[in-house]
Amino acid sequence: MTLLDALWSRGDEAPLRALVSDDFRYALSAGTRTMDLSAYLETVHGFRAAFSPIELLFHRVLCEGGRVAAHYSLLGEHSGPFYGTEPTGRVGSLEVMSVLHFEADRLVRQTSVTDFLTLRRRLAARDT
Amino acid sequence: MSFGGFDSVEGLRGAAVRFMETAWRQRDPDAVRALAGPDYRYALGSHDDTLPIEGYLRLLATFQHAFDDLVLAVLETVAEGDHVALHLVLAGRHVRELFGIAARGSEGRLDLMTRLEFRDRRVHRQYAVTDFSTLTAIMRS
Repeated sequence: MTLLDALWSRGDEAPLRALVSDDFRYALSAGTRTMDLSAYLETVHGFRAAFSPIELLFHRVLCEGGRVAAHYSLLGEHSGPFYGTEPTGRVGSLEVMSVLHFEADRLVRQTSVTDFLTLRRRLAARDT
Repeated sequence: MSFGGFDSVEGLRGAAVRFMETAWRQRDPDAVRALAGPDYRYALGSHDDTLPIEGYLRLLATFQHAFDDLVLAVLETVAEGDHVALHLVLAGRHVRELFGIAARGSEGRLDLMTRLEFRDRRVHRQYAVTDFSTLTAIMRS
């Protein structure tokens, strides 16, 4: 999961760019709205602007065929505005599970489920 | 290679799907208890504050009370070793208060991913990440 660690921890797009297919799509949940690579990177950089530095903590990575399931936490200091919440300076933790699909050694699709609401509530609760 | 006590990865995968389907479709607590191991714990995310099987059953009952016409779809599974990750979608209609949000009859779908760890053919640990933001948006819509 070097590509996830490089991207989220250091903002290094190179490992991801080296792996993605031309028609890569990213989905937050399984809804119909998916993102292309540039929109995905914009989302990542937006989160990194709100939480810095970020550390990825992998709980488990499963591989089967051309698919990888990763369960991890993003830990970072809340240093910028996040969904209307001003910086608190607290360390926030965002839980994520992702499934990455590879075809012919290229990353074609990533679907992630995250719990933004719990993160926002924890940041808000610690402020009061 | 260990498959949580099963002979094959397909046996393990089938048990994982059966556990989730039993939990959400059958509304039969005893059937869920029978598939969980003696030291079963449920964790929302990776947090330390875990629930025993009775706590998980109460959580299920809370959702099942608040939503009618619940339909569970298993979109995907990834299995390796003693673990299975599942991407699930729950669809339903919000008919009773949940988390202090009054029911408005809203319909929607909720994404969740769950990772199950098996020991001796039963679920030993369950970790779940749920898109609560979308759930809340559905209930308020």
